[in-house]
Amino acid sequence: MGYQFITADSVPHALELLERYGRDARVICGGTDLMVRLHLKRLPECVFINIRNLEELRYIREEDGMVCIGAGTTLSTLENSLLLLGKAPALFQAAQVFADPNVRHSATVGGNIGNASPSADSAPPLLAFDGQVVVARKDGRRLLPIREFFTGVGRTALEPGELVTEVRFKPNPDSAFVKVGLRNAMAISVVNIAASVDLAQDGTMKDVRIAVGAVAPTPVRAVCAENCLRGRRPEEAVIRQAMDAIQTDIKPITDVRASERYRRIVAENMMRRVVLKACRICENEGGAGR
Amino acid sequence: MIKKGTGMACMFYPNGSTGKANPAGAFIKINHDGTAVLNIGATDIGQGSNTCMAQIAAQEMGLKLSQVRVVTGDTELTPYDAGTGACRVTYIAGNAVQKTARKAKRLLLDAAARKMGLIHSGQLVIEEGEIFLRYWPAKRMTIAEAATYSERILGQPIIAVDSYSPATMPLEEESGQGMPFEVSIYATQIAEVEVDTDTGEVKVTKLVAVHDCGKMLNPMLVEGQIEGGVVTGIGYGLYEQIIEDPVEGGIRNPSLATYQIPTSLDVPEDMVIDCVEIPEEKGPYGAKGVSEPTCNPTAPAIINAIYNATGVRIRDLPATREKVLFALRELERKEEG
Ligand SMILES: Cc1cc2nc3c(=O)[nH]c(=O)nc-3n(C[C@H](O)[C@H](O)[C@H](O)COP(=O)(O)OP(=O)(O)OC[C@H]3O[C@@H](n4cnc5c(N)ncnc54)[C@H](O)[C@@H]3O)c2cc1C
Repeated sequence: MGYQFITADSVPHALELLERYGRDARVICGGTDLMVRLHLKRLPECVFINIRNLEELRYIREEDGMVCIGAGTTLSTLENSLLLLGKAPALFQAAQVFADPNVRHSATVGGNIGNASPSADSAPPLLAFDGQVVVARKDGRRLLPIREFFTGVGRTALEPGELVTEVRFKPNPDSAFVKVGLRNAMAISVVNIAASVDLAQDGTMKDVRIAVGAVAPTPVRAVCAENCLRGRRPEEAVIRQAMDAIQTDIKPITDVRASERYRRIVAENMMRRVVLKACRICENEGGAGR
Repeated sequence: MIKKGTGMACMFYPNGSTGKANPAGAFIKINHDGTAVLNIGATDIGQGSNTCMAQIAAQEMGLKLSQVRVVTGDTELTPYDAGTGACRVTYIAGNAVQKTARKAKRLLLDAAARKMGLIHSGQLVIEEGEIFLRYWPAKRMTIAEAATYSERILGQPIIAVDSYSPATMPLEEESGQGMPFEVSIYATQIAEVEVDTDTGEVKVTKLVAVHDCGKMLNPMLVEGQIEGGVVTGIGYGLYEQIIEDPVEGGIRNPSLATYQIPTSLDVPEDMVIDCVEIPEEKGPYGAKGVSEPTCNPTAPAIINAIYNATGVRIRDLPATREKVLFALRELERKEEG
């Protein structure tokens, strides 16, 4: 079969092509994951359905209190969005430390979750906001909670013929993101983590959602840690408990970037950092994820 | 928590090896229009030696820099050279260029003296493309005129060849004692770091590098060399490592995606670079090399700064985030008893 490359001129056209080519079709947007795999000869032959030119998939807007982001929106658009800066700092911050300016101009949100890497930097914020993925196919569309989207390393709940057109979530200004890689740019996360807290007047965390990446086959919610924090104040003893609890939420492996042990220690420490950051409590400034 | 510390390291580095012959050669030709062509074996690999060699030739022959064309990097055209390495280009090839340019200048001055009707050229000065009498500057001619006169009237084209090799001094066989190098380069660097005790990240916040490379022939090139060396040193100290696969054999990070070199966000914004210029009498215009060892003091200065900040002594490089974090944990454990 070889590789074929077809550029879609509209979303309906893309959906039609996706249906026509079924399992042989492969959506390509920014190409920052796919081109690397192509060059490494780690990509099965396929028909590329190119959606890069679809302006209709490039937007950030607010609808009924939800932030809606088109799947073709680049990471550099995210890091320049005043809307995200004000209302969803966790995602804004993730975009800021993503790869480097060059890659950010091409890489897209749809591609980042579509690639389903455990270390995808946009995933923890989207999980912490309990977001939804808008999935379209030729004969309709469905809303998928982002929590059900990732099913394994490089695997998603998408069926053949389906396209992600949008991610949407209820934003929260009391949110934050921290990334630890091996250096400060062009780094794949060794641990990335996002938190979104609903703070009561008295500083109690009415609700808290934490999501962490690169420490399990998919980005995960740190449910046990959340349970330790919910309904309490971000005090040292409380956070200590949550730090212990996050160990049961994660299942890191050792790879060429970091050992399991390093990931465990850092996940714990960064959980503290990200929760304090989301609560706007200044920890000792600086270090990773600034 | 962020812990801050400062560390220092010094180095000296040999320049111009004398153990065996270490030559560089140069050809110079001066054209009728007063421009010169300099052929040298030393190859510019980006460090700017073409500029520097042209500067030496221009200075010596009283030409403008723009009047010297450098031919290099082609073994068919250029004389032999032992290579661009070991900081030897400025020192060794620079000496060869200076010696050769001096010969060409002598020919020019002799021709000018003849043309001016002088008995010898002792009182002639050559500057900015012109030759004149020191005590009677109005008495002058251009280099172009002198070169043309020399070739057309005296039958002596202005061509010169010379080379330089440090005097070889074999080491004493039994003791290994002797002078294996002609000169030494010196430097001190001070690093200021912030260690993030939650991740093991070491951020170099400031780096001061002070080097002695003799007289700086081109301060901008010297600064560029030191900056580049410091960044390389940061890579050596904190990032770069080859990870072997103990089971399968082979290298697990054989690409720049996994072999980490520092990015622009990993080098200090605050880098202070300075030189103590102590002219080296054996070098061209007092210069020695600068390049290669610029990275030498960086890693030890950073490692000392980590120690100063945290009490953790890293003994095998690089001091990756993981290594530093584990060492911090180990230290904590010991301190708790
Ligand atoms: C040098 C470099 C550095 C990087 N650094 C980072 C980093 O710091 N953090 C990080 O998270 N990632 C990083 N990446 C990975 C990559 O840039 C991101 O995953 C990026 O978001 C992918 O987007 P894309 O549009 O380029 O995807 P593409 O390569 O076009 O596609 C990626 C995958 O998603 C699928 N896909 C794309 N769009 C859709 C859609 N609308 N619907 C369904 N499926 C879709 C494709 O079929 C494919 O499987 C880096 C990559 C490189 C090359």
